Amino acid sequence: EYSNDLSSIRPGKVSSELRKALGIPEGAPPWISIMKDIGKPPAYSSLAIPGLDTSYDNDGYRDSKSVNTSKLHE
Amino acid sequence: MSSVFRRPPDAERNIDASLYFGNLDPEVTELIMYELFIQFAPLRYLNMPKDRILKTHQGYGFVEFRTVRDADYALDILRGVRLYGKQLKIKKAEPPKSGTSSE
Repeated sequence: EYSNDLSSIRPGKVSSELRKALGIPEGAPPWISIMKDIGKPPAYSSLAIPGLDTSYDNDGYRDSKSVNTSKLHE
Repeated sequence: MSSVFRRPPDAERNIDASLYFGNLDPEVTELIMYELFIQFAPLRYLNMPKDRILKTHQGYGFVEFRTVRDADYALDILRGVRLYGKQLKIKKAEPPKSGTSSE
């Protein structure tokens, strides 16, 4: 029942629902500045993180070597 | 197939890579928690126990990551995060108390 919803949820892309919960209508979520101090998530160490490696956008973490986005995503 | 909300067999669970989270506002959903946690690492399992009749969560849940390192990182970075104004309570999950003894 969740699968349709889950496919649109990706790291680096903060939905309006999560923004509402966090109380941040726009811009980088609060953990981006913490990542500047403690480093990137180990699981995503090879990805480019907007707000950290590039200017902030809400389009998701990206492969830092190629500009290839997930093939699972339609 | 995405089955992050389906409980894996006990033998495959990794308690050391699991976190407890609580002090959740009733507005917080499993999807919101899923979205929050995957910002820091992929998940193996997420569960927020529901009231059998009301179908609402009871203000807490558990999340399991693939590795201990992922769990520790999420624990570090989510300290102090507020959802709907309520500070998230988050800590390492405790192993279920069983009758096993090493003595």
